[in-house]
Amino acid sequence: MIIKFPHLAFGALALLASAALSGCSGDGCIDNRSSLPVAAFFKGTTAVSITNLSVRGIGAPGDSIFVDKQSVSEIYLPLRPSTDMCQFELNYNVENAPADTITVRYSSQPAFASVDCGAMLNFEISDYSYTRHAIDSVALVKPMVTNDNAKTFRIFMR
Amino acid sequence: MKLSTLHIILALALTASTAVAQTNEQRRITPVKPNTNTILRPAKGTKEEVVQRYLDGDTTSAKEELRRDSLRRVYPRYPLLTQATFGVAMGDAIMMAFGQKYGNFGISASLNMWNRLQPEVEIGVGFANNTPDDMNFTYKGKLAPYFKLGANYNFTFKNDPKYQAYAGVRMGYSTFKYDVTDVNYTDHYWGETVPFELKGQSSHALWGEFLAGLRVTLWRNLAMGWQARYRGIFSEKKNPQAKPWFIPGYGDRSKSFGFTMSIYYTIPLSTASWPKPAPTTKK
Repeated sequence: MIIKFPHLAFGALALLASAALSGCSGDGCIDNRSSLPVAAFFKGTTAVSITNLSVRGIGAPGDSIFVDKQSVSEIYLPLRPSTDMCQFELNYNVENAPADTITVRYSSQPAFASVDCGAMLNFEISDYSYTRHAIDSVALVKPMVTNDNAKTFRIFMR
Repeated sequence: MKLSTLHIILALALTASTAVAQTNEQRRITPVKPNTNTILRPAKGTKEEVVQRYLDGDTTSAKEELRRDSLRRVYPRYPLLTQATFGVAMGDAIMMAFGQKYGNFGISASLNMWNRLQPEVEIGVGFANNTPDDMNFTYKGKLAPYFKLGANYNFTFKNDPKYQAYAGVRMGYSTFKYDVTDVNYTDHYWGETVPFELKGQSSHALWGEFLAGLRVTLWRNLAMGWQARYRGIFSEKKNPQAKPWFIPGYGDRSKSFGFTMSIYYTIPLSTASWPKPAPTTKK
């Protein structure tokens, strides 16, 4: 006997529809929504935290600081989008310990990461320099700055 | 002396024959009753000609015919070319009415072979236009073609092809262009906004799909079908500056699951070779 099964078909259809709808939610942005260089602090080969550190971009509106007397093991250094160079001042807030300055030269590249993360500027670092008060040296680990969380600089402290 | 010996031998022989006769009388006798007069009744619904063979005494060929008939009922064999089906994908038109920011519109053609295997080809076009809320861009996927090739396996091959539940595979390919416009990138720390556009981006992609679907005949040769698809990209042209969001024929590249709906027009083929439905017994 030939079996007709419209009821079974529509029941299974409901299951298929619910399975399909479960795949409709967006994955979200698992990376950053902007491209920021990350600098991590080291002493020798050991990662360290710097206490009571303040960091600001030189020439930022209102002289605003983005790290304010905090204990940090790594910092984000927002590059200025409209220029090809910017400087950051690292103030240790310790008596008789002068601040260090890191200078970064770069070129910016428009990029579209994803619908969830959006469009942004990526940066390619071409050159950098630094003062050596409390800093021993700085290493450029990854010249291309994208919206992933990869480390860009390693700052080795004295 | 000789005479007495002869008497003894005769006496022994007589005793022995008497003993054998007594043994024969004690044997159990099982009578053999031939069943040549037994009537083998044919099953209900048996064809008239097969019943006639029974009546004519040709039970061997009648039994063989019954066996074949029974197999045909359990495993009905549809012809090599059972149906030709043409479809129009409608799902994205409905989804766009509910806010989906892209659409794929295609037509398909398939051949139903033995009511089991169904090679299918799909061609169509896709486009996208998306300006997400709270985001800083507009993504425009230009109208571009796509092509898919694959096959379905109908699990309900024993049943009337009007109703089908099947699984299938597809291989898809598309080459396409897209723009990312109206971008306003704002750096809140420096207090600067930089506008830019990424126009004339291009890519191509090759992907595969597993699908499960249902097809139900609605009226005469018109049918409706639903498919759930699981997809994965095999290869694509890398574009680090602007990774494509929409792939024609695939949809949103970040989603592995998809759902399609189609309207089909079916042309039955070789209907004379289709298995006949079994007669229903009236109560």
